[in-house]
Amino acid sequence: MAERNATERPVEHASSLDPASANAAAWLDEHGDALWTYAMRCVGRRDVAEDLVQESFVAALRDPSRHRGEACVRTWLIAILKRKVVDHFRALARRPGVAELPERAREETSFTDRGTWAQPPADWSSPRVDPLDRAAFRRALSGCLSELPPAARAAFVLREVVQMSTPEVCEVLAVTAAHLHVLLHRARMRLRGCLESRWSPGGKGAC
Amino acid sequence: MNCRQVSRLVSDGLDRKLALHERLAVWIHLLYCRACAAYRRQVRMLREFARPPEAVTSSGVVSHESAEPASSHMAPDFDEPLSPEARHRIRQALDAPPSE
Repeated sequence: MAERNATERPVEHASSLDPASANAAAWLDEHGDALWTYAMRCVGRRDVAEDLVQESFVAALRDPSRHRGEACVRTWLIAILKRKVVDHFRALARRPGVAELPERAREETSFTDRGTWAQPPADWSSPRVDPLDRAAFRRALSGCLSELPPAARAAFVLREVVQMSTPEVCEVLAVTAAHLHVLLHRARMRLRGCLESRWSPGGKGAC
Repeated sequence: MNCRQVSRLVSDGLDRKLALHERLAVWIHLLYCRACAAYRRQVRMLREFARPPEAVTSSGVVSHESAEPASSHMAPDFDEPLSPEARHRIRQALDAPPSE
């Protein structure tokens, strides 16, 4: 087990476990926070995120033979978690009413009757340079993501976080491409509005 | 084409290949509309920052392998790590014999 050498924290009560469980416990020590962060980014709810992380580790334990190559345990675990996230959204999208499009969405109010911006979008350009600003932006984005309506969040997360292709997302959410484009545009409009209220380039204060 | 229509095409352009006339319309509009240009920067930034830091593509292939900076990358993302209670619960689930 070469990856044990790379483990910095000791594995608790590893000796009482069979090798597969010991492996999984070490994986939990080392990669638990990473999976948790990823799951929270995707679903935005602690209880759901914890369930997804737990299911992922249990799935990893049941099928450790699928892991090949010691360097990429995290990649493998994240891939398992991604499948759980996709299943979660697949089930969510099939609940009645979730994927339906309201007649008039809130992003419509971003524009005047003539189709011009009611309030022009802010100029975001500085977080490329400042790491602290980048971290603040990431945190604000996670918060804003969790406040999106379910269908828009599912569409945005599958497309931009899980990085599936447009046809794949359509299949998971059982929607047409045209429907998905509306959901994604709606998600982006809401996210930019939300982020403008919580984050501004170079720290506090609007510019 | 007005800003409402152009903003929709700017978003669509991230998810499908725009038709030639659509690309032209967006390009011409962006020449004089700073607001829509700012919107385009915003949605590109949303894409950039939504991507998880460990750079794993949807096919599960690692695009650049870097084992150790990953955790420090992840750290500022959330104020709190996986809670001790959840960690404990998951550990118990891992210790339990498979239910199937």
